[in-house]
Amino acid sequence: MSRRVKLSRRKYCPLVRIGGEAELVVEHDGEKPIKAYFVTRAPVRGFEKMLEGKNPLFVVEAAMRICGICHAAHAIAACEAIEHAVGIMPPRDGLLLREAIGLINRAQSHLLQEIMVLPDMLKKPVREKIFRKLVKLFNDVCSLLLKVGGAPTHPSFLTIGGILKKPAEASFNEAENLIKGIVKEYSEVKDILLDESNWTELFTSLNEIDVSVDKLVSHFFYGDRYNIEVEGITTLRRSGSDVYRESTSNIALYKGKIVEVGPRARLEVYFFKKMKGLSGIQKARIIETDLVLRRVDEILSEVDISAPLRARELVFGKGAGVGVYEAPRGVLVHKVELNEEGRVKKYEIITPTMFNIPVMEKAVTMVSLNAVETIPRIFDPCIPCSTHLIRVRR
Amino acid sequence: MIVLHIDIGGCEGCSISIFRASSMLKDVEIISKCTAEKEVDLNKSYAIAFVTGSVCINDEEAVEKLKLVRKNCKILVAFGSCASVGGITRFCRGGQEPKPEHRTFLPLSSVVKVDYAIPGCPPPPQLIRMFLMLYKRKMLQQLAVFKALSSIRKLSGFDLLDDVVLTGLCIGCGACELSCPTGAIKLIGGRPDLIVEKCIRCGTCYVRCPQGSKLLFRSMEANVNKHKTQFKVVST
Repeated sequence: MSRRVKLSRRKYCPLVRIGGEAELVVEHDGEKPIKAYFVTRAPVRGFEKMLEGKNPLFVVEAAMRICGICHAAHAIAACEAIEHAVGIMPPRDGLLLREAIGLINRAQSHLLQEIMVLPDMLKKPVREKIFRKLVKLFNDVCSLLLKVGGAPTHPSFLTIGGILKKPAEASFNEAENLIKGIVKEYSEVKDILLDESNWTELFTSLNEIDVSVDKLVSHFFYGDRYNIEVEGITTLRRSGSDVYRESTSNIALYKGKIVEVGPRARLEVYFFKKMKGLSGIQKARIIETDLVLRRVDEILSEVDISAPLRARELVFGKGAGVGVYEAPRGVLVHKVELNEEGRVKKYEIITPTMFNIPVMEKAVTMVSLNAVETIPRIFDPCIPCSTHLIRVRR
Repeated sequence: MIVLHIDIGGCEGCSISIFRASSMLKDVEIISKCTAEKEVDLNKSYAIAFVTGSVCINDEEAVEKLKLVRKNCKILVAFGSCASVGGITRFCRGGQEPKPEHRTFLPLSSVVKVDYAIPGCPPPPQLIRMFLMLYKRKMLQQLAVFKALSSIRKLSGFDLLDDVVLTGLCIGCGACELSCPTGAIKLIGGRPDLIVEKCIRCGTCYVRCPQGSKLLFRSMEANVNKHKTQFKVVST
């Protein structure tokens, strides 16, 4: 069993309604939090080590399975890294479909988070109605991903060089109709979610509380390795408290500083929308879901599925590459080195949750004790992602 | 009916499948941390527990949690490939910070008795609805393949080749190709060819194979008969 040093002014909060197993440990003075620790407890499956020696095609299938919530994000970042390493450029329509699959996954992940945060956010009378609408939307988005990506979880159409299999024409036509319905329905739900008169007192109180940190983002709808300095990212395992001993994840910094990544960062940098307050993170996520669904509608109308969807020649050999992608929770980085046979020599992954953990902990110290459990939900941490990886760097 | 869902160490993909199923079910309440208002109490008794993710035997807390759920639940269902046969976690090798000792991930049946195992990466939510409906109506014969899987500890495209294709049992129906979640199986000359680097050892192809599932029944019957024979020897 875990050996915890129990202090009288420590509150242990096993977290529910987040993606994975984690606990919030809050040191307090009886009235308000002084320090907070976000402790993940999921076992470390070790994908970075697992991928050593493996063929790049396996890398994409395995990377997807780091997380069953942001699966497409990992697959796309892995594809981008390998394509960068060996000089493969997917054709235009393949890239468009890849963008659509990634965005459908982003909407899928956001909708799940919006469902899980409902008890914290909305008053009871309106909550039940919105819960049912969001669940229906979530299932519709899963159907959309099945038609466009090959599966609602771990979409098998994503591969190195573009898209593995052309979506069936009938299925694709259904997808084009389905997205229009989803856009319309979500637009109505969005208005109710953003109407502050429907919010709980706790959620409204978060309008006045915020963390002031820089934002890191590479792109709005996709990702761009040239927009951020990947070498400026460092990762570390924290020390200084017995609490950290049991944690199974590390954190990430950008140029030595704590940064926020995710929907609010994207909206502020690319749409110049200042979202104030911790509730602003949730508002940003809701607005982003709407924008992303509209972009998917645009892509599905524009893409030509009869055009080549995958690069014609795939030659794997020695090389090094980086894939930077905007996962639902923020900046995701995959770095790969391939040996002479084109097999993986070294693999590194930096997930958005690793950036947000210290921001989350800072935010928890700013709210009252009865609100501490809500803060991790607003940041939407992904535990399967943050407990698979990262070698300690100096 | 109250069904408990816990995750031991998976990617949450199977958890999402269970969440999606919960909206399709009538008269069934699924208690899960995805939707719970507070921490799920594992010290209570539950009729059925769906456990997702494989068990890391180097993580004492995970092993104890699984044993506690086994003790308190009448029926334990290993849901998803990781829980049933290991899945992608069969490739884990440890050595990664901050827990390099997390090296060995096994299917749940390696640690506790499993009543039913449902492979898939992830299994679709419709399968949960079908399972619970058949279970409620006590149509247990229809669940025999999942019962047979509960004592199988590994299943992959390699097993399909060894047990079905190379023995001459394959009828070329293509169910394996259609069911593979990574496109690792392609029929060439009417027989499955395995793209080895794409196989994630989820076992779906074997379960969907009409010959493969027959082999699973036979191995289950053989185990039952072996147990009966042993019992007879002991009693005389």
